[in-house]
Amino acid sequence: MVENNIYDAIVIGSGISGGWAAKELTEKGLKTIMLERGRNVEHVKDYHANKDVWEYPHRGGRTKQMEADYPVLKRDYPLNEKNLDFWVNEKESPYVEKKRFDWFRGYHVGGRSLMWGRQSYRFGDLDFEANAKDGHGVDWPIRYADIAPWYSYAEKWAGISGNRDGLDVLPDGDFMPAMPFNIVEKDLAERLKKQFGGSRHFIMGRTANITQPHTGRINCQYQNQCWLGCNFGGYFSTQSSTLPPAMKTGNLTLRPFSIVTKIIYDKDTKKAKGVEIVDAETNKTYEFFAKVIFVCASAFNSTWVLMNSATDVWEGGLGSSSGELGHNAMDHHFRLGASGRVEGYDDKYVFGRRPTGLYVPRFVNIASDTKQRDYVRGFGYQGGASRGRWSGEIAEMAVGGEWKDALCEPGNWSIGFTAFGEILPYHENRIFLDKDVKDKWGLPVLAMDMEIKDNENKMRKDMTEEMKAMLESIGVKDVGTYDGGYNFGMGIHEMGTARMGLDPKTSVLNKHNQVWDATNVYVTDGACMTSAGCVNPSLTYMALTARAVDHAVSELKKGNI
Amino acid sequence: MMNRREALKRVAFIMGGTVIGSSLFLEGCKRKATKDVAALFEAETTDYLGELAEAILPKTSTPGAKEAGVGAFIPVMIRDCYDEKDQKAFVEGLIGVEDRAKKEFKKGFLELTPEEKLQFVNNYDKEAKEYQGNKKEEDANHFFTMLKQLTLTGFFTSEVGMKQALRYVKIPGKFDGNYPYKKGDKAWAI
Repeated sequence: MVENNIYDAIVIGSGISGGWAAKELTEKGLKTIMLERGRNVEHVKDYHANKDVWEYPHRGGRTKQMEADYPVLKRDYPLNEKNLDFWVNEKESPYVEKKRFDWFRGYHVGGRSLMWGRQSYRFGDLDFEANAKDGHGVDWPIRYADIAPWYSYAEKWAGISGNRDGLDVLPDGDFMPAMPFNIVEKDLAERLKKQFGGSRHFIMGRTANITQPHTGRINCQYQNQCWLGCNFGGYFSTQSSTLPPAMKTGNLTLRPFSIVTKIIYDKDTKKAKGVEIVDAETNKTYEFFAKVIFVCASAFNSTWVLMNSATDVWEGGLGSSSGELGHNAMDHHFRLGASGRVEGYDDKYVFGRRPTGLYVPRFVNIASDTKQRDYVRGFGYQGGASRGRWSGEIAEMAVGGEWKDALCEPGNWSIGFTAFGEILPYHENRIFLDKDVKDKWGLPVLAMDMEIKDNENKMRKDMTEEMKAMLESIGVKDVGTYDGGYNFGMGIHEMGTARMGLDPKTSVLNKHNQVWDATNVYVTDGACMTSAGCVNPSLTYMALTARAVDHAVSELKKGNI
Repeated sequence: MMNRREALKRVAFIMGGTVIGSSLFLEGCKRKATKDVAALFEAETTDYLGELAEAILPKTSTPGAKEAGVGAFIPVMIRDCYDEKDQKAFVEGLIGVEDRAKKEFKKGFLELTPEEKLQFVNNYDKEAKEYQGNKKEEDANHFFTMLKQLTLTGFFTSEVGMKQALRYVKIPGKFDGNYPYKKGDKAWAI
């Protein structure tokens, strides 16, 4: 049988951005093929949520063999026995670290939408104007007003729970009811508000976990085991939210095991004609043709596709005419914060496992009392209060029956936060093709060459100290700070390398996410980001993707692309 | 026909007066670590490990480590999750338990009364803490530290530990952030 190879639209990648592109394109009537480099993961059937921890031989932990097989994944929390098959096979898909870079990838249908952190915040004009104001990077070609309706559109379908907090620094959205505070968080949030005159806040983390039944999905059941896959569809993923409506249109073809090797560029029309893929299982090459292409392969892999395309016209690949393709790589730096003990509340506990926590929106370099920092931009915090188990090691006798019974009771309440900070878009922080190193399919791999600099390091001092001072000011005891160290990539928020901009000489994409050099190619995942902000970025990819599809379809109708 | 290993076991049984007759205890650390680790899986050894774990987390009003299957869990972890240095230290430490019990109480570990077992593991715990606090980074971990950690992990991730010693609701269905607590109520398992 000959495989149909002509479509209206091609979507490269099936994660958060690719899923949205497929949904929007197919709902607008375009015959679409979604190409995913890895295997299929079927909703519910291929999840791990049914299994309890005692059913795993190592109780969810990591073995020496796993550490040998996953030398990158083991560098932080993701390496575990429970959802190992949601993480990339590192031996098949290596990369080069010119400087240390921790790359945590998911190569399968749904991508990292299956394991993501789900925190969902809008960028505001504080973010969209940042580059123009302090001169780092180039100006964003859009402002909040351009994307606000698309945030609403994305939130309404994806299902984001949160409060409308009415804060200037963090725009509200079209939310479902927020998850509740626990009693300690509620009291401390009130104390903080009083202490800082309304300039600092503990708000409920806005999360892509639904609190009401929605689009055929069942509301969150408070298991907090999201990254195993949710049988209820309680959180947003490609499988739970964007793939079903795309499939329902009858316009979508999903093709797993399809590694896009290049975009086929037509010199005469100055447009893309289609893509070439290698089948990951058979190693056979195929071509698919379409009028419009959405590149949503995850930030750095989207840029990899561009770098491998149209190299006969531009040595550096499609979109490289600006000299910015591969540059301005960003992430969020974190793994530091503060925590302490909360006295009292011995007669209080919680029921259920809430899959979100408190969020502290950015306050530095905004409010008058913190305006004069020795760095630009800022950071937010994620954390929460909880009543943990008694640790037991302080006991005089840390063995035996009495000790065991005490271990089975809850301990003190505590509260803690981790800071997430903005990384500036430095031109010299870049990725490039290393043609000497090949992956399993003989394709050149990415080399990572980036680092955080003075601005981020200065910010880091503040990130621990500010939280320590805040917690102490609201009566938290024994407050300690921590800094677990950060390596580029650990935030799993790769951004940049094909930034949007106002000028084709200094940016890869225009204000509609079109590649300046081939306007029927749209890049709408993290690669397009012009600056990083300090909030979790995925909601912005959803909004930008829906907005770009709307543009693409209208341009197609007008015959402009 | 009785093979050599069975014969040795029988000898061990008579001489020691305990069930510790697995090949591990007879041949011990003269062999390669991997072989010793394989011997940890022999029924006598997992039973013995279960007894040691039980001394650390005994049955009270709720089941102890033995019933939670910790004895069979420990060898899996030692084999798959520990480096060779720690594997060796664990095996050597385990072989030394009997001598240590005899030195302290003039009898084998399994013959100790519950009070003596408690005293035994408490002394061991204190010694292990002292060792861990002073050891160099490259030194192996103390046998008892590994035993205790694995006992805690194994117990509190077991079905028995999570459902009977602690409280576990797989699918809570709701969140209540102001849930009453009274002294003696058990903690949530996760």
